[in-house]
Amino acid sequence: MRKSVVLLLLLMFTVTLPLFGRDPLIYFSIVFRKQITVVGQDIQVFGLYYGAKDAQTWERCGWKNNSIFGVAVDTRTDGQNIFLAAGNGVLRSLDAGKTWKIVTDWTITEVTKVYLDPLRPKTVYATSSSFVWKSDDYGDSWRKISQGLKPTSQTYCNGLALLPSDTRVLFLATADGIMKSVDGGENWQPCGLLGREVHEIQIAPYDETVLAAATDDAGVYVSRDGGKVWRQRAMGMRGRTIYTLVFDPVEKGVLYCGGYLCGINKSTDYGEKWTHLDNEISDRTVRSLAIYPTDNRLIFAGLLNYGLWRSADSGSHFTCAAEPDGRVYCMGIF
Amino acid sequence: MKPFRILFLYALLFSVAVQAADYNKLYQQRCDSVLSYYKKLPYGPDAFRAMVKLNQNYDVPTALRIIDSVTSRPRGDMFWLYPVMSMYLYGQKNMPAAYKAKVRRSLKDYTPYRGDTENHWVMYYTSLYLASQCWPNEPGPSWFNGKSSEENRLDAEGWLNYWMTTTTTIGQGEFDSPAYLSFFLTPMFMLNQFSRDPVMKKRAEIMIHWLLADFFIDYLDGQYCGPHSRIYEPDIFDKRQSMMSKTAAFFLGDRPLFNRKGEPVNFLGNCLVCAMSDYRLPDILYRIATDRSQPYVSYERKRSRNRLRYYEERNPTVNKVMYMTPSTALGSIQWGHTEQILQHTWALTWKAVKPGEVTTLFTLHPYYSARDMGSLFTSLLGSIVADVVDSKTTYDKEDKLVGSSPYEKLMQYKNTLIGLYDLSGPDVVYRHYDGFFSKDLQERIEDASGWIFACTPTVYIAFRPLKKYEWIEEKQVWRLRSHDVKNGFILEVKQPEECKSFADFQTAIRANLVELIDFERTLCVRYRTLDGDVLECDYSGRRLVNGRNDDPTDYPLFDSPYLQSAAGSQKMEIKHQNKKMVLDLAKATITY
Repeated sequence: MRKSVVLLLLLMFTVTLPLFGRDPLIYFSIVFRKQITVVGQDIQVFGLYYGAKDAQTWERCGWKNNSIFGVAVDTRTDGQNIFLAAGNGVLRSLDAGKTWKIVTDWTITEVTKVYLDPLRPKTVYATSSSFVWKSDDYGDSWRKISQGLKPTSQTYCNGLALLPSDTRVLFLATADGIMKSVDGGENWQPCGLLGREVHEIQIAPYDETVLAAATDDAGVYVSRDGGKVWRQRAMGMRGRTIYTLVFDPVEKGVLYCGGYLCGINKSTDYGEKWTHLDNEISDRTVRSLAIYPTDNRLIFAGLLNYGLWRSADSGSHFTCAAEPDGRVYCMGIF
Repeated sequence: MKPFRILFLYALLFSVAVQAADYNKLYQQRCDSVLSYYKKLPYGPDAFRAMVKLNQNYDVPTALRIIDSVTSRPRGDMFWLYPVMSMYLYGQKNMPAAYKAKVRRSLKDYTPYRGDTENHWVMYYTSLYLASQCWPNEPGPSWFNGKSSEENRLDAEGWLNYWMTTTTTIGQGEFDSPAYLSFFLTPMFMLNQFSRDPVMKKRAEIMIHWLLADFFIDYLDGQYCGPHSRIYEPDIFDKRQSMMSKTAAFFLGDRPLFNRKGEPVNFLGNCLVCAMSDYRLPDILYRIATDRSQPYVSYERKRSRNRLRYYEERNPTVNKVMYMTPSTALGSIQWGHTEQILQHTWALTWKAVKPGEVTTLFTLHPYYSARDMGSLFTSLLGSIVADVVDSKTTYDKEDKLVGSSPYEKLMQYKNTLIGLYDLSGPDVVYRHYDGFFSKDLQERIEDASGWIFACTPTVYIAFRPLKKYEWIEEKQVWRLRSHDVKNGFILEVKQPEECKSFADFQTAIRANLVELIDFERTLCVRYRTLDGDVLECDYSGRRLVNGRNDDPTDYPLFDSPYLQSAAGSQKMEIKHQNKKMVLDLAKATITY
C-alpha cells in the first residue's frame, strides 16, 4: 500500500512537473484533406498544428505537406523540442517547430509513432511500418530493436506503451498482436492478442496493472494483470474497429474509445460495459482521443475527414475546433 | 585458320562496325532533332524546356523565366526534384549565378516528399545524391530536410546501393511497367552522367543496361509486352503510346519521333535527359530489342513490392514467363503475388497491321481487398480501399481492366496458357471473370466445338472458355464475361506462318484433347497442344508437362537465349549471336 502511494506520487510528479511551465498545448496532425491526393500532386497544405485548449485559431508549423502520424513534445524544454513520426522518417525540431531535421536515414520509413522516455532524457523510441527503432542520443543516431518480432506483421508496429514506473518495460501494438519487452526493447516476447491487429495500447495512469488495447475488427481488450490475460470488452459498444482509447486520469475505471464510423464509446467500469455517446460525431471515424490533463471534462477527438473536435462536458456534446475537412491522424497534449 | 574464314570474320566485323556506326549516326540525329525542337518551345513551367534551352544556349531569357516559375512555386515532390536537378546539371554552364542561387534556395525552402514506392525513392535519392555533390560541405539548415550535404550524400548513396543490389540479387520491383520503368531509368541516366564517384557512375551505367535489357527482351513492334506489375489503363489498348514505348522509339528509331507537321508523336520528355548525355546504347542491346528472327522462351524472376504486413517475406518472389515469336508475345506471371492494383497477370500481344490497332488479349478476375492494400500501405484498413480508389478509381469496380486476383491460377507452356478461376469462396465479391477481345481482330468465330477462334494477319488465336459466357460490346473490345464460379480457359496461339491457313489452324485445334477432370472439385484440366505437348494442371498448383512436374517457383533472374542471370549473382550475361556483354554490379565492371 505504502509502495503504491509512493509510486503514485512519483508518477504524478513525473507527469505534472513539466506542466508547471505553461498550460499544456494540443498538438495534432492533418494527413491529407477529405479528398486524398496522389504522391506528386502536393497541392494541399497540411502537417502539424498546435494551440491552447480553447484556441479558435491554430498555428501550423513545419513543412506544408508532411505526412505526420505521431508527435511527441519534450515538456522538459517548455515545448521547444518536438519529435514527429512521419512518412519521411523521424523529424526533430529544437526551436518549437521553426526548423526541422529528418534525423533518420533511408532505412527508417513510414514511422507510426514516436515516444520520449520520461525517465531517460536521451532515449527516444520510434515505431514504424518496419520495426521498432531506438535512439540513446536524443535522435542523433538510431538502431533497430526488433529481436523476437516475426516478419512482417509483428514488425508492423502501430505504437508503444511505456510503463511509467519502469520505462524499460514496453508494450508494443503490432499488426499481429501485442509484444512485450522488459529490457528497453532489446528483446520482445508475445503478450497476447496474436493474430489481431492492435492499433493502440494504453496503461491506466493510476494503476499500472490495467491496460487496454484498441484492435481492428475486434473492439477493445482489457487486461487487469499487467498484460497476462486479455479479455475482450465489447458489451454495449458500437463499432468493432477501434483506433484509439484513453483512460480518464482522475475517475478510476472510466475509459473512452473511438474508431471506424462509430464515434466515441464510454465505459465507467474498466470496459465491462460501454455506452455509445450520442453526440455530434457519433457516426464519424475517430482516429485519436485525448483528455486535457487539468480538466477531465475537456475531451479532444481527432476525426478522419472532419478535423479536430472539442467537448467540454465529458463527450456529451462536441463542436468542431479546427480544420473541418482535415484527416486528423494523431493528437497529443503536451 | 583458313584464309576464307579470316576473310569471313573480317567481313562480319566490318559489317557489324558499319551497322553500329549507322546506328550511332541515326541516334545522334534523333538526339539533335528533339533538342532542336525543345529548345525552340515557348515558355511553359517545364524544367526540361529550360534544361535544353540552357544546355544549348538558346533563348536563355525564356529559360530563366521557367526557372523563376519552377523555383518560386515548387510542386510535385520527387517529380519536381529530378527535372529541376537535371535542369541545373545540364544547364548550369549558361545559368547566371543568381539563378543558380534560386535553384539552390528552392532546395532549402521546398520539402519534396520521398514517396512510398521504389520509383519515387530512386528519383528522390538520385536527385539528392547529385545535389549534395553540387553543393558539398553545406550545413543542415541550408537543406530542406535539415541534413548537411554529407549526411544527404551518405543517405542517398546508401539507398541507391541498396536498390541496385536488391534488383540484381532478387529481381526488379514494380517490374515491366510501361510507365514506371521510365522513372527508374531517367535517374540512372542522370547518375551515370554526373556522378563524380567513378564507382557510382559505373553502377548507374550497369543499371541502365540491366533495365533496358529487361525491357527489350519483352519488346515487340513498339509494345512492352505483358505481363506487367503496373500498367495504367490508357496503356492497355494503346500500348504503343506508353512511356516506355516512346523510350524505345528514341533508342531504337523504330518509329518516327515527329509527325509530318513536326510535332512530337512518339517522344517522351524524360528522354531529353538521355539525349544530352554521353550514354550510348550498346549494339548488343539494340539487337536484343530488334532481333525477332527466332522464337524464344524467357524466364524471369521478379520481386513483389515491399510488403509491410500480412506476409512472411518482405519482398516475395514473382516468376514470369514470356514466349516471344516474330509476330506474337504471350507472357504470364506463373507464381507469386505482385502489385494488386495495376497488375496485368497475363497478356497476349501481337504485331499490328494498321496504325491504332488494339493488339492485345487478356483476362482477369475483378478483385479488391483492404488486407492486400494494407500489406502495401500504412493507411487504416477501414478506409484504405476508399483511399486507393481516390486515385486508382477502378480498383474496386467489377468492370475494371487492371488488377490481379488470388483466385486466378495460370500455367503457361510456350504458346499455350491455361487459366483457372475458383470464385466459390465466401469472401469473393465478384463471381465472374472477364476476357478482352480486340475489335480489331478480323475474325471472332464461336465454334460449335466450344472454341473461340480469332485472327489477324499476324496471329491466330484459339480461346476455349471452360464454362458458358456472354459478350459485352465496348468501345475497343468485346468483353467476354463468364459467371460460373468454377471456371477457366485454354488459350493457344500460333503465327500464321506456322499454319497452312486459318481454317487449318481451327481444324487442328478442334482435334486437340481437352479434358476436364473432376473439374468442379479440383479444376483439373488436361490439354494436348498443337505441338503435341500434354499439359495438365489444377487449382492446387499441380502442374505437369508431358507427365513431368513443372515447377514455376524457382526461376533464375533471367534465363533466355539472350539474357542469363542467376539469383543472387548481381551479374547478367547478355548474348546475341557471337557477341557477349557481362554486367557485374558487385565488381562495377562491364566486359565485352
